[in-house]
Amino acid sequence: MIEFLSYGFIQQALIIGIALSLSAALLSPFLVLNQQAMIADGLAHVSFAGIILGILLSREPLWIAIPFVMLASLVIKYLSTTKTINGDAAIGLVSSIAFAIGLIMVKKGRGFNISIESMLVGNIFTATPTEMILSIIITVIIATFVILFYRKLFLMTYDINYAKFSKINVQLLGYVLSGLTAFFIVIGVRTIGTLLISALVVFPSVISSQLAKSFKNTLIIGVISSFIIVILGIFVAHPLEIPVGSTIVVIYAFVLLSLLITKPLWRT
Amino acid sequence: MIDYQHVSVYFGKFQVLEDVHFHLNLGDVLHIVGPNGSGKTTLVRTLVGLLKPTSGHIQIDAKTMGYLPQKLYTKTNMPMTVHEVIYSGLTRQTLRPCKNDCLAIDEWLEKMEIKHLKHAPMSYLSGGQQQRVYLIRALISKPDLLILDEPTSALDPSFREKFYLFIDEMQKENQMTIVHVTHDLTDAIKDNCLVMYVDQKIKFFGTYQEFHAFEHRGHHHD
Repeated sequence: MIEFLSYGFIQQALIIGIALSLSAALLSPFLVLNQQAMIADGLAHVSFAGIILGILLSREPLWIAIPFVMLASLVIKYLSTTKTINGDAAIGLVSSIAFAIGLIMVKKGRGFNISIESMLVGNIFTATPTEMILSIIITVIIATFVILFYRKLFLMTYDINYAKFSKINVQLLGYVLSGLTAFFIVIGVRTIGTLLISALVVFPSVISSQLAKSFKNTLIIGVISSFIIVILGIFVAHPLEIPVGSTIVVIYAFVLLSLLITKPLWRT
Repeated sequence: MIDYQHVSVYFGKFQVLEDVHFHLNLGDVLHIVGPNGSGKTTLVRTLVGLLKPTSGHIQIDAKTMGYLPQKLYTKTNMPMTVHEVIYSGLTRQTLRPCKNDCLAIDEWLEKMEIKHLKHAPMSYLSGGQQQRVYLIRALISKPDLLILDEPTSALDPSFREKFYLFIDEMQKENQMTIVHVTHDLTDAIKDNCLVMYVDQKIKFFGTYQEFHAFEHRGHHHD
């Protein structure tokens, strides 16, 4: 076990895993309990195009991909505020357009030699130091944002009209929330994969709301359970040579299923 | 306190409010009545700043406002406790609620007879209990202007009476200005209150005694 931890790439994978699990679990209740769970999935598709664009244009694809996806998240948010387009339709529109353009770029882009499969599945063990540093930065930003605006975000999540009445700038907070989600998703797509990164956002709140009665505990239990599950995922996946993202999702699903099955036994 | 000047509201081509104009002073209690779809809730939404009037001007000089919406758009199946919901009504909130705020919340829960539900999840509460929680949320910041949109619709009759006595008491103590939308004036009427009958336009505005005479003239058929 000690030997396992002495590998640089394992240490790096653990740091990224912990950072991503914390960021995702902190965002989770404000998105999932506000019927915005799918925004993570949509932005993952946009990230696919963003990263391909980044690879074609730059040696550091993330410098292109991060602003690209953050911009897309603002477009989604804007479209969903218009009266004729629903939030979920806005996500569907922007993500499918971006994904389509991404696929065209792969086909027509010159010198593109990364397999699409690696982009869809991701690989946490081949992450670059830049990705590790960015994942730490985004965790710090998200944690600060959630702690500073916790009360406002809570009110906004459960009663948007009362939040507006209380003079909370719900527009601005909403945009910042999607922008930060976008930043997190781009980093996550490279390491956990396009197809699975949204699970990191969706599972924590769904799992913790089975156990918690208060919003605060939903957030805290979500953070703790993600932290444990992501580390467990990395430890299980590496020796078995299976993808880390898939392993994490399977463990999440196992935990959720056990909770749902045993709920009648412990619920008071 | 409230200067509501020539306000009209359109939803597309539909005119919901037409040139509504009135003035309220500090400590006034106004009951707004009118048939379904007459624009009562729209009027309230313009007062609390959720809706911008198409034309006209609204000036409100209140330090803090309390608001109890008619339709609660809240997600009641969300994990959140009574305490968390009430705390979100305070003007100044901190990550860790201070002792005084917690004591104030306890006092209110006691008054509303739901003290035992302090840490209960909202989803466990009945409609009437939830309504009381939202009422405390509206009152906890000691508003000088209170806006109630059919507050007693989910309350049982015995508590409804208590509720109005209690609002009346608070109003007298704090010189609170109240705007109250209702279908049923019987329990709510106290001395010196004002009544507005609205149906797109203001059809009547005056004291309750005057309103009584107005009703007897048969306004429903004009």
